[in-house]
Amino acid sequence: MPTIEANYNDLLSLIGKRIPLDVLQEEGILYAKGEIDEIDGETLKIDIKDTNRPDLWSAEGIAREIQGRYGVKRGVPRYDVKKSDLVVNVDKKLKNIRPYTVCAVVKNLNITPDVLSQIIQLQEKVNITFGRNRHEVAIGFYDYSKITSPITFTAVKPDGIKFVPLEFREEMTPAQILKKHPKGKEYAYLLKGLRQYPMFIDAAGEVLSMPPIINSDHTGKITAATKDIFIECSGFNFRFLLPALNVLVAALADRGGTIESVKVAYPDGVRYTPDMSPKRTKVSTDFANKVSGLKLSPKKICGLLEQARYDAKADGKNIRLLYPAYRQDIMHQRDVIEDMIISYGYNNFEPINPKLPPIGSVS
Amino acid sequence: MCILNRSGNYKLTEEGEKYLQEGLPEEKLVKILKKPMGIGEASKRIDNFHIAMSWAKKKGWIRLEKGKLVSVGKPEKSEEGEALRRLSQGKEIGEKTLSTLLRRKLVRKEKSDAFKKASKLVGKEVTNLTPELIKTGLWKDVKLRPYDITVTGGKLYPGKRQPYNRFISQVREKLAQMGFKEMSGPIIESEFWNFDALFQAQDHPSRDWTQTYTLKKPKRGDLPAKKIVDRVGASHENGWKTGSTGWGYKWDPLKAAQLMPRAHGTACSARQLVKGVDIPGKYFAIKRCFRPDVIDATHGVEFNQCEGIIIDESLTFKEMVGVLKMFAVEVAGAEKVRFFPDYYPFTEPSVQLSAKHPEMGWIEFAGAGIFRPEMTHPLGVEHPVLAWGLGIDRLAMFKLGIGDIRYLFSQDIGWLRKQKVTV
Repeated sequence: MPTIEANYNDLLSLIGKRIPLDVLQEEGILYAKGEIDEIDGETLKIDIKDTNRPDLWSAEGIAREIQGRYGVKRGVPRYDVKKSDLVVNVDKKLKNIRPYTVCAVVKNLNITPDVLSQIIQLQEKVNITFGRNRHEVAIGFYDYSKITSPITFTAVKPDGIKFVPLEFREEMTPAQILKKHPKGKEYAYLLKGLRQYPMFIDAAGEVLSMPPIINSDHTGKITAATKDIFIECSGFNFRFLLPALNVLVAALADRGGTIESVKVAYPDGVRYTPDMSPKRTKVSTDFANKVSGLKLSPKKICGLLEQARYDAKADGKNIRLLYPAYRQDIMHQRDVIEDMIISYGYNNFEPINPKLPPIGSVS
Repeated sequence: MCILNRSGNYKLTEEGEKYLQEGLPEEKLVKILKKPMGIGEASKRIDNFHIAMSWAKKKGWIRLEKGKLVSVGKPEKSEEGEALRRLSQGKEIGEKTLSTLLRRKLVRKEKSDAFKKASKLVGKEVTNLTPELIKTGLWKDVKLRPYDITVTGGKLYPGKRQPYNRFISQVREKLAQMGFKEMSGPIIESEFWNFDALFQAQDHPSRDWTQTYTLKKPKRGDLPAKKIVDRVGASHENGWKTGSTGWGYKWDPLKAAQLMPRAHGTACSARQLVKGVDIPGKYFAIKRCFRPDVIDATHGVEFNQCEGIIIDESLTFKEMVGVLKMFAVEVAGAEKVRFFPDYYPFTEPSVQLSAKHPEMGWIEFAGAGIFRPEMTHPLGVEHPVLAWGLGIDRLAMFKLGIGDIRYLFSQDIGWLRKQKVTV
């Protein structure tokens, strides 16, 4: 269960509505499947129960859910994506090393201390929990202004290149980083047995990072002065990489950034990422009522789901739905129905004792 | 035939027994003296004539007149005859008569062990009022040492069950009373029952929902029937016939066969669904589970989970919150309850119940949810299954007044002795 920290006033400004702390604690935070565990001045420590909803692991994501339930916004949050000129070429050498990356550019950011701490926290939570401690998903943020397109995602021998890793002063080879850098030592096991290590290198020959270990100190560092960010997620499976990227991009866009896509050229085809267009699903009114025990009209269900940030349209007894691209947890109607129940309010259900056989036994 | 007298036990002698049956010789003598009789004739008719004559004379019942014995008149009751009868019936007799009987050797003193024991104490100061002293009446002849009833006595430690073990039995009985049947399952479980059957994808973070141990030797166990295994695999890969998209990856039965110490009781529920369930049906299990952690006062690596399932045709989320509320009130004695959205990989919707206990305040008491169809359908159950788990260790710590979770499994005899039996 990820525990995240958020600033109360920062959260309110993201929501766009003043919600008293006690109301947030008793009710508001439940809509983000959270529980406020500790309050220290303005800092809230929030346990997010859902380990399959990385979109909720930041103030931005929590705010999106609360906005919906308090009528600030409804329906799917829209994210416009323009095309950038940036290209990432993926080397076929990576096939058995770390084959995939998905990338994005977010521009025009105003990186305040709150924004910076949220970005870093979200990156860390997604890396650790959703990315299974960087194995499935390793995330890199870079200062876009320092990068020359095209970037190459390739593999390099342990002593085949030198760069200055994050928070260090001297150039080191990949092999030295794994032995000497604290992050190198911590994550070396993820590269165990490989003869070449994954490496992002730009057109000027500047190393961006050696995933999933460490960024370079030159390009891979975000500060308050950074305006435009290049993001990449690398790993083995698009099932994890695409949602992770969408989660990060959505959070940055909620901070006022504009999203641009990146052309990722694989040996066998081109992929433009991110794709922030909503995904499609549906739910039946009868099934929703059967699971919840409520007797809701299609219209009422549409309303509850719009509060849960779906676009909903009744089609007879079925409800056609769109949901945000940062969600990857919706597999069955049940997942949608839970969101509906959360909108309805868990504490608004009338508890019923089931009528069941009275005879028990111990074995 | 004994009698307890103040000074001990007395028993009739053979002669005494004879006289008890036939009467005393002097009585017999008086009986035949309807008219005066010569000594020669009387001595022929009475055994022990000398005894008879001397006692009859002594008692003044006869006199000698002109060489003949004459009856003076027998009293209504013969004291000694009466005494023999009383002794034979275990009754007390007078001291004087007793001494006469002793002198005539009709009675002898019988010294019992109890009497021997008790008589040693006569005249001494005793601290123990023994059964012998009471039985023989000699307690009247000893000096009892004064006893201070205000002083605290020494402690006794009778045998009793380990308190946590006892608590768990009580919860089991309570659940059986509430109509739940107990489920079973092994401590060493395969990943199949612990994860795969619960729709936790092999390559997905939902598998890391809990930290777990794995077994090095033996590494793998048996999987259940192929039909079940194939359906579970299909459910992971493409949702099988459940209406789900599934996880969208290649499911590996070899990984599912990996053995591990059971990490949660829900493994037992999955097994029960395959074994077959009554509809409607209620089942529970209180099972030892293992998860890696840094052991301290609030964290252990082994603990008990109390889990249960309820199956019926038309159960809904309303019954789900109803069941949880019932537990909070019945098992934990809660005053108020609140429900929170929660997450379990195998339930959707999922819910957590916090209960306000009169003394403990608000506690997270239960986690629950309706099993996902991707889990239940491949295991052969299409009806809604409400699943719940109770924080039983926390409740035990509260009920037993334990502040350190490690004491739940304590073998510290000094501590165990002090634990109260009432819960």
